[in-house]
Parts: sequence; C-alpha cells; structure tokens
Amino acid sequence: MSYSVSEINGVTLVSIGYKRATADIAKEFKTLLFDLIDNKNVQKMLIDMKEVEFADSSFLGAIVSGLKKITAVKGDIKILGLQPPVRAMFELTRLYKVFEIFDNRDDALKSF
Amino acid sequence: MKAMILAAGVGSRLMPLTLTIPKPMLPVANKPALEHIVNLCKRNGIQKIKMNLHYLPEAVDKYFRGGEDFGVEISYSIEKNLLGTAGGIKRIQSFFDETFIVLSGDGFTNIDFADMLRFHKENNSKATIAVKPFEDTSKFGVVVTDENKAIKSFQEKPKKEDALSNLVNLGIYIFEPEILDLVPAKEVYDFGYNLFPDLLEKNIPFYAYETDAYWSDIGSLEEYWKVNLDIASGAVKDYADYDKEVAKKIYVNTSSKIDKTVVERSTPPILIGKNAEISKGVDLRGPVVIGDEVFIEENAIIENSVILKNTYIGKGVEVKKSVVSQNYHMSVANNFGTFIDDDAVLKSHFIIPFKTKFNQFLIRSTDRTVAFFALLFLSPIFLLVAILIKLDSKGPVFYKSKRLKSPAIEKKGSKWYVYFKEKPINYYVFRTMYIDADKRVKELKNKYDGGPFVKIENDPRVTKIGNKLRKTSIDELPLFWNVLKGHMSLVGVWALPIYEAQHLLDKGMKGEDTEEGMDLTDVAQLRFKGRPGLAGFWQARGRSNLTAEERALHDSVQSVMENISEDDTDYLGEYAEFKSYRGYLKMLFETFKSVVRREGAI
Repeated sequence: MSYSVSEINGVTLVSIGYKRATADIAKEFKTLLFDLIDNKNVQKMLIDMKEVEFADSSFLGAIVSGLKKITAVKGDIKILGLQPPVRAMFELTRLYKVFEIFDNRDDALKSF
Repeated sequence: MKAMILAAGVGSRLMPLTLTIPKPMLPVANKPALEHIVNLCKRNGIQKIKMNLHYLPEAVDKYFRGGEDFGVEISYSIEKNLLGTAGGIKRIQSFFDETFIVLSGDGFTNIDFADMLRFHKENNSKATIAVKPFEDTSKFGVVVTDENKAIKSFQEKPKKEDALSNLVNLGIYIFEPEILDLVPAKEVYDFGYNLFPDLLEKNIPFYAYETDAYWSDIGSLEEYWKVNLDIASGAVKDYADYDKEVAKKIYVNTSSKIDKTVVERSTPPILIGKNAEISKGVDLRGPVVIGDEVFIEENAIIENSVILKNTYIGKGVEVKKSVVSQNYHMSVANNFGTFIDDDAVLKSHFIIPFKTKFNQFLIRSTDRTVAFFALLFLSPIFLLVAILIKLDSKGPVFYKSKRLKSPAIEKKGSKWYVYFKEKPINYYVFRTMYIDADKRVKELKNKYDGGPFVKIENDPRVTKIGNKLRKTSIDELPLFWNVLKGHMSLVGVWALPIYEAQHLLDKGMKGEDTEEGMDLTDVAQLRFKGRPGLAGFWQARGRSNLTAEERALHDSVQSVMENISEDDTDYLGEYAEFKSYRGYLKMLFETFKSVVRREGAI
C-alpha cells in the first residue's frame, strides 16, 4: 500500500493506496505533492481517493497545502472518488468550495 | 401521453439534507419536489406516471403509493444498479406504448406540456427537448438548432464566449415510443451522452421546443434555497396554492397559529405550512418559507431562510440566509442567542440526547478535576516563573488576553463580523512581552501577512524569559485557571484574541498583500463553531511544522467533528468517535504525549 503517480493526457494522477489517510502519512504525502509541483512542474493534478475510508485533518491539511502551492503556479488540484464519510467531511468542512470533486475519472480528466 | 419521472438521484451535493430524504422528496415550498411534478402532470392531463427510484425508494413509495391521493396512476421501477437516463426507461419499455414525456424529479418547473406536445406533433418530431434561453450557459448543456428549431448539435457547459447558442437543455423530453428501440437493453445508456448523438447521426426528426416557463434545478443547496424563496416571492405562476392570505403576501395554513403582532411587523413574502406555531415578538424577514409543524419561540429572527418541517427554534435564535433541515431542535445554547450564519445547513434530528449530555458532563468534570490538580501541583513552578518574570522586565506577572468564549459571527456583504453580544472573557497567561506590546501590535500588523496564525520569529516585543516560556508553552499554563472556571475545555479549538478572529474572518487565509490564490475563508470560519479549548488537533500533532492552512484545517475539522449529530455517528464512523468521552480522553493523552516529547527535545 502506498501512492502511485501516473500521467494521463497531461494530467498527473496521484492515487492514494491507504485506507486510513492520517497524520502518520500526511507528512510524506505533502512531501510527494511538493516534489511533484516544485521539481516535476506539475500543474494539473488529480488526487484519487477511492481507497480512502478515513482522512484526518492532517491529511486534508496536506492536500490544502498542496493546492496552495499549485495555485501559486496557476495550476489546480482536483479530487476523485470520495467514499461517503470522506465526502461528507469535504461537505461539512466546506472544502467542496475549494476543490472540484469528481466521481468519474474521465469527467475529471476532461475538466482540466 | 404518459410520463416518466426520473427520480433515482442520490443528491450528494445536497448533503446533509439528503442523508435521510432522497432528493426528489425534499420539500419545495412545503411540498416534496416530486409532488409538484406529479401535480403538473395532472394539470396537463397526464394519467399514467412511471418513476424510477434508486436511493431511499421506500420514502417515495410510502408518500405517493399508487397515486390514488393525487388523482393519477403511479407505478415504480426500482433500479438497484443505475442504468443511466435512457437505460432506466428501456428496462420498462412495455409501459411506453404511446407518446411520452420524460421529466427530472429534481428539476422544478411550470412548463406547459400541452403546448410542447402540440409543437412535437406539428413538426412530426420523434424526440423533442424543452429548451430555455439562459444568459450564462457555462453550467448547462446547450442545444444548437437551425431556424426551424431542428437540433443540429450539442455543447456541454460551454463558456459564454464559446457557446454557439443560448438555449439550455432543461432535461424535459417528449419521445415517440419507437425511440426506445435505439436504446440497447441492460446497459448503462444516457440520453445526453449516447442517445442524442445517435439520433443526430441517423437523421431522425429531433426538435427543440423553446419555452419561457420557470425552471430551476434543485441540485445544489443554493439552488434549493433559491427555488423555495422564488416560489414564496410569487416568481413561479400557479404555485402559491396556500390556504389563507392573512396579510399581503403572507400565506398561513389555517391549521397554524401565528401571533398577530408577528404578522404586523414581518416583511413579506412568507409561506407557513401546516400546524406551525409562531410566538410573539418573532421577526420574519421575507422571503421566508416555514414548513409544517415548525415551532418558533419568542423574539427569534428568521431572514431569507427555509425552515423544513418539525423543527423547533428557541427564544432569540437568529437564522439568516440558511436552510434548516427537518426535525431540528435549535434552542438557546447560551444567554445571548444562537446565531446561524450564511450557508448553514443544519442536519436532521438534532435533539441533544442524554448520551451527549452525559458525555458533556463527564468532559466538564474531567476538565475541572484535571485543571484543579494541575494548578495545585504547578503552583511551585508558577511561583518560580513569577519571580523570573519580575526580575526580567517591568510589569505584571500575568497578561490578560480578551477573547470571546464562542464568538457569534455574521456576514454583511462580503465581510464577516464578530458579534459582540457577549462579554469578552479574560484569559490569563504569563506575560511574555514588554508592557507596551499591545500598543505596538498595530504597527506590527503588517507582519501578520500569512494570516493570524503565523507566529512572528524573533518578535522584538517578546522578553528574554518570555521567549523561553513561549517555546516550552509554560506561558499558557495559567489557562488552567480558565479551564477551572469553565471558560474553556482542556480539549478544543484555540480561542483567538478578538483582533485575530476579526482578521481571520475578514481575510480568510489570505495575507494582507496577496489577494490572489485560494480562499479558505469559508473553511476557516468554521472554527468558531467549536468548543474553545486548551489543546486541539494541531497542538497535538506537531504544531510548529504546520503551514497556516494546515492549522486552519485542523481547527475546522475539529469543530466539525465536535458537532457531528448523533444521527450521523454510524454513518460517519471514525469521524464521530472524537465527539465521545473516549475521544476526548484519547485527545488529552495525545496532547500530553506531544508536550512531553517536546519538552524532552529541548
């Protein structure tokens, strides 16, 4: 279980292979995002969270930090495949106003 | 003509309203959205209606049954696996043995079917789409036609400048039954993606019927809120069928009680459902829609809002520009009134149950017990620190920081304001700055560029001993006194000084000089809903390496998790655990561990 990074039609797809995305892995994940943005010049990023059953505040914070960094270079991070509790968390914390969220990968890729 | 109503949507964008009610059953002006559509069918002479259902189907079935109470025949097709708009109809093809109309269960309209059918027949059309001109097409599917309204092509959500037409597809279709022969069986098949391109390719007569009828989706909370208030305002013809107009544009069902003075002082338009009770002194600032069995106590203010049924609103509660969900129990949590801000969505069944009360009691008792013993054991250290502060610089030992226990906030225009209805509380910490520091805060304000959470490195206002106290967090230990007094809990969201709270609300997470970039204001202001406390998520989870955004996220998530309703605990699983006494203890332990670890590192 880990992360996988691939590129489809110019969009960098980051899939999270953890069921629990928590403080333990948030730092490592943030480093990965920052590396992709800073060193690989990624501007279009899609984070696939369909495996994730629970994402805590550290992990959500890491994604938001990534978004802040990528918006500085005029890029965007979009989110794919939220399980119901995680989706509810995006709604309740109003993060859905900050991220575009998709259920379907093709729709997400097309939206960039 | 027969009708097919597509009512299988989950309504995930309308969460949490749709946690317990499927989207088509959400009340629009006090009736389920579907009922309006069924009535519209009946008014247009349609007798036989089929609905496809998927999410919480029993709620629809229970309400409409065979349609006997609504003067039509209703039958259902329950889709365990969604088949797409066209695939769902193909499944029940035998029902459609004559011309039929397809309507969306979550669109709201007063379109004239009879006229649309006339247009369909006149043009010998096999498939007709209802369209309406829209100024901004960027959220809709656009239909491009020739001068005879024959459809030539489609565009999906084009920007205004790219749009080849301003005609938006309303999701209302009239079809001839043979159209269904083009749809493959047992496959996910969609009108927009699959069938319509096929019709164009095969040159089948395919027309757009232009209408100026009212139409709105209820897919998002904002749209849902707007449709309700539009109907109350009379923007939709034929929909204000309320029993009694007690004053101009104030409609009250005869079974409801409303105090006379309320009618006199309130601003129309107002719709009030069945068996509601509105007490004296209540100020209703229309447009307002109040559902069945809603009870509003004295001096409450409801402005620009939709209150769904069976909700209790206590004395002096203010609800503005909000949707309050069903079965909500909102009473005065404190003596200065409860304030529901913009875009608030309150979930169902929010009656504080005994278990929660008992948890709160345990948490408060633990807070006070721990604080008492902490103060007792720490008193020798306090004495020592007091001497050191006195020796280091001139001034008092303690610093009083004025904070709001739980600041109410309000949005006016684009700005947020902290509500000063309560008296600020003095929070006691050890003085770590020179005594004229407060005066210098204004000059230093520009340094708070990253938002209010940024700690200034090598702040010249901080004394030498102050610096050490801050690093070790010893300066905060006197806050146990505030915990003992019940001003704050051991575990909660850090209470911000008033000017920092104001800054956060005004600027969100943006700095003074960076107007660009993302705006976390909506997310960050959620923190004010949380219980104030000494230690929260970010204090426990590596405080110093976090960016301002991460800290804001920690605070907001914590606030949200604290406020998860009992009803959603199963659904939200691990997220809801934090609310319990066990979660509180876990958090307390985590913070303690992190403090010890930090002390060890110094």
